[in-house]
Amino acid sequence: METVALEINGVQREVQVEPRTLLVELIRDHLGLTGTKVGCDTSQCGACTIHLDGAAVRSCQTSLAQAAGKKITTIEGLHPKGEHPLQKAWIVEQVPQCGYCQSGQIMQAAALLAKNPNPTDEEIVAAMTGNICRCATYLRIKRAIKRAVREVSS
Amino acid sequence: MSPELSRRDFLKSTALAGAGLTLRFTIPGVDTASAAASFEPNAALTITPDGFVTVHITKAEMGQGVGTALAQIVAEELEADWKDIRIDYPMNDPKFGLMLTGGSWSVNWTFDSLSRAGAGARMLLIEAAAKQMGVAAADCVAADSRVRHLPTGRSMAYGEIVAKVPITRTLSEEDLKKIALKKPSQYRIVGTWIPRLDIPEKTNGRAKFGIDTFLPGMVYAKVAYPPTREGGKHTSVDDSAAKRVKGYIRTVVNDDIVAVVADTYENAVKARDALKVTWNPGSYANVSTESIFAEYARKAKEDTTSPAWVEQGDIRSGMAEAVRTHEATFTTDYVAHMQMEPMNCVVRFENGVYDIYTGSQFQTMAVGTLSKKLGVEESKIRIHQHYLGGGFGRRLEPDVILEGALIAREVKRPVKLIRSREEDLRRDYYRSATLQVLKGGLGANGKIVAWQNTLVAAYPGERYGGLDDKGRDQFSLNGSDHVYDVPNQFVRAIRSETGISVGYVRAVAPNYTFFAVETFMDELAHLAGVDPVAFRLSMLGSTPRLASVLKLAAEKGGWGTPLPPNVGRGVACVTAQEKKSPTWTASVVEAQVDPTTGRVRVRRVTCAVDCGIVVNPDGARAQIEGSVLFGVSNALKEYGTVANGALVQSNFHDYHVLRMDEVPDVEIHVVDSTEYPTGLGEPGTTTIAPALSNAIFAATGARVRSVPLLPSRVLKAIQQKA
Repeated sequence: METVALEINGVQREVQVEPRTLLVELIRDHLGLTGTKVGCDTSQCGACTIHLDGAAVRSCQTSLAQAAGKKITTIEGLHPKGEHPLQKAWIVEQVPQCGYCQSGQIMQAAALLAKNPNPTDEEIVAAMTGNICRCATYLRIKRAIKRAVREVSS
Repeated sequence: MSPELSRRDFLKSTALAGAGLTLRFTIPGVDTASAAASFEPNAALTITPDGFVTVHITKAEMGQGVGTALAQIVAEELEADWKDIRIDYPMNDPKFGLMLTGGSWSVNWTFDSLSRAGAGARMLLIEAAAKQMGVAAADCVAADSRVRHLPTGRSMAYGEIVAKVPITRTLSEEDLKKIALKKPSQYRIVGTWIPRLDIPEKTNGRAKFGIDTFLPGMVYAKVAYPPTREGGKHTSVDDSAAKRVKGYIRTVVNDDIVAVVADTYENAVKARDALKVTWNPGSYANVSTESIFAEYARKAKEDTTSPAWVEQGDIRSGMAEAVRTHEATFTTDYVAHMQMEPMNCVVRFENGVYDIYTGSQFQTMAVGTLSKKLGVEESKIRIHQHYLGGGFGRRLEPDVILEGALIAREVKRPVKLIRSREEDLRRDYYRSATLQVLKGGLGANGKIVAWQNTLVAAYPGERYGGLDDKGRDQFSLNGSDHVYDVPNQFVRAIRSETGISVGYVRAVAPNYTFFAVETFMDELAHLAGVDPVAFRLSMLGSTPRLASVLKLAAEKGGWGTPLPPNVGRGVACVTAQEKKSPTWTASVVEAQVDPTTGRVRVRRVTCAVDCGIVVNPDGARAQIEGSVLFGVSNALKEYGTVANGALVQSNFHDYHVLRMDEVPDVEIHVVDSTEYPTGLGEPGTTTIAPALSNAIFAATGARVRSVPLLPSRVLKAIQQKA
C-alpha cells in the first residue's frame, strides 16, 4: 500500500492503494464512481473507457502507475452538470437501452470530438468500433454524435 | 421454474394475457387521521399528498423502456398529468403476482390490468373529491391530475384529495372488469412519444446496476467452477496456498460450491486461482460439437416415437399427392447471451434474512429456488431490484444469486460475487444448437400440400415448470407451428440433452425455427418458380395482418427492383414469439456477398411490424432497431463450439458480436393499429437469419443452411453450387 496523489474529475485526491491497482478498480471500488463499468476485463468491449489527459483509454487495462501525473476524467466529470453536447444529444436521440455500455460510448465519442470536432461517418465508425453495445444502439449512437457535432458548430 | 411455481401456474398466468398481474384492489378502511397518508389503490400505484403518482414497475428494466411504457398505460386511465408520474422498481412481494420479465410479454400481459388499475384509482379519486366538495360524483370529471366539478368549475388536485379525504371504498376485480376503458381514439398518453424516464441517468453515470452495489463491510467472493458445463463435481479441495494470498478471508466448500472470499475482487481472484481442486468432470467430459450434431442427426433419422408438435391433415397422403418434393437439413449453433453487465450480486445474510442486490428478470423463480435450496421461507428472500445491464434471458436464471447466497450464509458479511466475462460465457445457459430436417411437397396448383419438420433440440423447460404431458417444451418449439395455409403438416419434436446447459436467449426458439421455416419456404418458392413474396402471400389467406406487413416490407424494401452484382434481397415473415400473441413481422434484408471469400455485408434491413396498439412509438422503434441488429449479430457472427463438455470460446475475441462497423441501415415501418398490444422486444430478431440466408441465395444462387452464416459456410455453398 502507498499513498498516491491523483487528479480525478478536476479534484485532487489521495488514495491508499497498491500502485499495480487497475484504474477501474480504483475508480469504482475505492472512489465510488460507478459510472465507469466493467464488461470484459480485456479492453475488448469499451465499457470501462475513461480519459487520461483527454485521451480515451480502457481503465480495465491501465494501472494506477500508468496514470501517474495524468488527469483522469470519468463520465461523472465529463461535464459538471452532465450537459456535455454528447450527453444532451444522447438524451435527444434517446440512445441508451440497458445503458450499461453508454458511459464508455460517451467517453469514447467525447475523446474523438475533442481531437476531431467534425468527423466523417468513417471516422466515427473507426473511433467507435471498439465499443460494444449488446442492445445494438449503434444507429442512435451515430446519430447522437452527429447531432452533437452540429450543435457545437452552430 | 421452481417447484413453487408450477408450469400450470405459469401457463395460467400466460393465458391471462391482459390480466397477468394479480390485481389487489381492496382498500383497507382509512380513518380521517391517516388520510394524509399516501393512497395505494392497488399494487400498481401510489399517490402521495405531494401530488406525485408513483407507478410500481414490477418488470425488469433491461433497456426495453418498460418502466416508461407501463407508467404511460396507468397514467392514461388515471388521467394523470405526465409530469406528476414517477416510477420505482419495488422489492419482490407476493402482492405483485408473477414477477417475470421476458417473452416480449410485458405490455401484452399488463395492458388491460394496468389500464384498469389506473381507471379504478381515478373512479375512487372522483368519488372522494365529490364527497369533499359536496357535489355529485356524476357531475365530476378527471383530467391532468385534478378532479373538476363541471357545473361550478371547482376542482381538487389528486394530491389534495389524498391529503384531505379518507378513501374507504374498495373495488373488487368484478368492479374493475366492469369499468369501461377508453377507446384508442381517446388516448392522449398511450401512443404519444414520451422520452424514456430512465435515459437521463444512463448518460451521466448515475444509473445503478446490480454491480454498482457497495455495502459496508462487504467482501468479495470468487467461485471455482468445474471444467465441464454440467455434471462436474469437486472431489478434493486444498486451500493451503489460497490462505497465503493477501486479503484472504475464508474458503467455502460444501456439496454445492467451492469458493474463496477475500477483501478485494483482485485478491479473491488470486486466492481462488491458488486453490487446488480435484474435479470429477462427470459424464459429459467427451461431449463436443461433432458428437452433439452426430447425435442430433441420428435421432432425426431414427426417432419415430417422439411426440408431434404439429399434426394437421394427413402427412402421408399429402406427400403422396405432391407432384414435387424437396428435403433439406438446417442446423444452428449455440448462442450465448453476452449481456454487457457480467452476472453478479451482493448478498447479505443477517437475522435469517437474505438481502439480495441485483437485477433479476424472474424474481418469483429466484425466490422459489433459493427458499427451497436454503431451507428458508420465501418471505426471507428479499431481492432489491436494480437496472439490468442487459438481460436477453440471462437474468431469468437464479444461478449466480444462489451462489452468492450459499457463500453469504457462511461468511456472515455482505458478499459481492461477480463473474468474469470468461466465467460468464462458459457458465451461460445457451440457446440450444438445433438440427431441423424439413420436407415439403408441392401440389399440382403450385402451392405447398405437405409440410414435415423433424426438430431436434435441447429443452430448458424442465427448470421452468416442466415439460408438457407429452414431454414437449413449447418455448423450444414455438415458430415451427407456422401460420401458412398448408393442409397436411407434421412437426416432430425430438428432445436431445447434451450436457451443455440451455436457456432462453432473446427471441428464443423462433430464432432457429423460423430460420428453417422461412429459408425452406424460399426454397419451395424457387422450386415452384414463384416469386418468394407472392408464394408466401398465396398461403397467408387466414392471417391477413401477416400478409399486410409482408406486403409493406416488400414495398418499402424495394422488392423486385434491380441491384448490383453480388447483391441480393431476401425476405422472411413471422408470427414472432408465440402464435397466441403474435407480433406480425416481416423483413427484407439486402446483402452483398464477396464470392471469393464468402464474406457477407448486410447493407439494409427493412422491417415492418404490426404489434397492435403502440404505447411509446419511439421506444417501439428502439426495440425494433435493437432486435433487428441483435438478429444481424446472431445471423452473421455468433456461435459457440463445444469441446470436452464445455464451450471453447471465452471472451469477445473469439465470441464475436456485432460492432458499429458492420451495422446496416435499418428502416422501420410500424402499422397503425387499435388491436390489443402484443410485444416488441424480440420479433425483429427472428426475421433476420432467414431473410439474410435468402438474400445470400438471391445474390449467389448458393443456399446456406447453417447459422451463423459464416464466410466459410457461404464460400463452401458457393463452391458446391459451381
